[in-house]
Amino acid sequence: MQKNVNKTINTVETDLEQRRKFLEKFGKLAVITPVALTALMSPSTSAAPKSCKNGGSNGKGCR
Amino acid sequence: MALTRLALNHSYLTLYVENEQALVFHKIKQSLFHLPPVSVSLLLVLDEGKSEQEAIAQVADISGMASQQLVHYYQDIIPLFDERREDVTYLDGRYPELSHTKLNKTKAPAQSITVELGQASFAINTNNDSLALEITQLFEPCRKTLSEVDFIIDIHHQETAQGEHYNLRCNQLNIDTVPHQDFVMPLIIDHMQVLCFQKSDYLYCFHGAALQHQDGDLLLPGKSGVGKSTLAALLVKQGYCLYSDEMIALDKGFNVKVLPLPMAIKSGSWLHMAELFPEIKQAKCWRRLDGRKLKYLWPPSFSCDENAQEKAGQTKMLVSPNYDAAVEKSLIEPLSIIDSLSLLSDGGYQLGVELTQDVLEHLIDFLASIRREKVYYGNNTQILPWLSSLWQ
Repeated sequence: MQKNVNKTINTVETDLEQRRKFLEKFGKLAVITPVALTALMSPSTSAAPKSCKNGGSNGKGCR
Repeated sequence: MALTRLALNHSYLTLYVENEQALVFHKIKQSLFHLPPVSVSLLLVLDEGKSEQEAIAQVADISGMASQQLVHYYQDIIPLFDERREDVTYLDGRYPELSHTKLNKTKAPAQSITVELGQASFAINTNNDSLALEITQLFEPCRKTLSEVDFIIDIHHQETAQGEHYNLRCNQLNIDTVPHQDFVMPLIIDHMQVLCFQKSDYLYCFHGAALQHQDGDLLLPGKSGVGKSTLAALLVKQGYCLYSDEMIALDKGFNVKVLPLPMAIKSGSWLHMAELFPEIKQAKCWRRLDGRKLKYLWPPSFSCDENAQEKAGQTKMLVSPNYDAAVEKSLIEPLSIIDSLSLLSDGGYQLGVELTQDVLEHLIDFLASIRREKVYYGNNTQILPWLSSLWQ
């Protein structure tokens, strides 16, 4: 695959200011939106999608 | 808004931020994680080499959260610093019929029912006459005389003192054994559908329906039961062409693959669908192993792969349908890129390649380039005019 050239992703190379900004911003959001860390994609959850009752119980469709 | 990418000191981790949401990609594990806000802060502090105590103290100071609460988040995030590879790969999810490097066609058995579905060909063979008749009738629109096929599906019916059963095999590999004929068709159609897309040059496959409008493609991803198939069936009556009502398979150019199989309509929609598809009244009722009943309907037309060049570059839209009879007025919300990725993965997904950073960013760029909406609705009259307006 070709190297991504689309401008939708802004690259910030280990920018200390950016890190500090995110650290503060997300730290302050912590109490408002306490969700859990979730694996969206991983080799173990990639499988042929299937129809299943109640949308599946493992959070990744029905496998 | 575009995502901001931040390369971390741990070179195998990359952080992506979109407004108040964040993802982290683990290059070694080829895995993508959605992070709660506090975990982003912890990740950044730990990435600077701080100890557990120092990291928790610093984030507690910023967030106002108690250290004890943060210990839980710390324990959650520590596996992100594990540098070991996963034991499985994305390609392990391919069906064993396709695990050989080259799939050779096999001579179709005499008397078998041969069908062609896009680039995949099948021979279906059974020793049960009534089932053979049902298969012949249902697959009539895609039947084709073929001497050689990619896949041979054998359905062996056996009656014993303990009762009857149907053993299903594909290319001599066991699929399943079921106790009644009613379970057979959903199993073979699901299996054929997966083989169809896995045999193609797909890059991403998501659970959902996909349709072609004259002005572009409509993707309807989501979990089972949110109303995708019923909505897709209504839209084909409005002139849309179907790609698939079950799987959105996309190649590297994000062209949608046609999986020309009948639409599976669940029992809750039969009455309503009968107005548009009177043939549903006479259609045979099949059952899934989890107890759900369904009937199969053929759409008036499928999209044509031959038009792929023309379709390239056409508008694509992602709409997450959420049907709930209790909803009195439809509600439409924009979906962020990260919400869209969550939606696509939660419904069930499969990748046709390993997840590298390039593959991930290719998908992110695609999502960023299309319109993305989530719609809650209580009946189809609430949603159909809105869907029509999307193309104007």
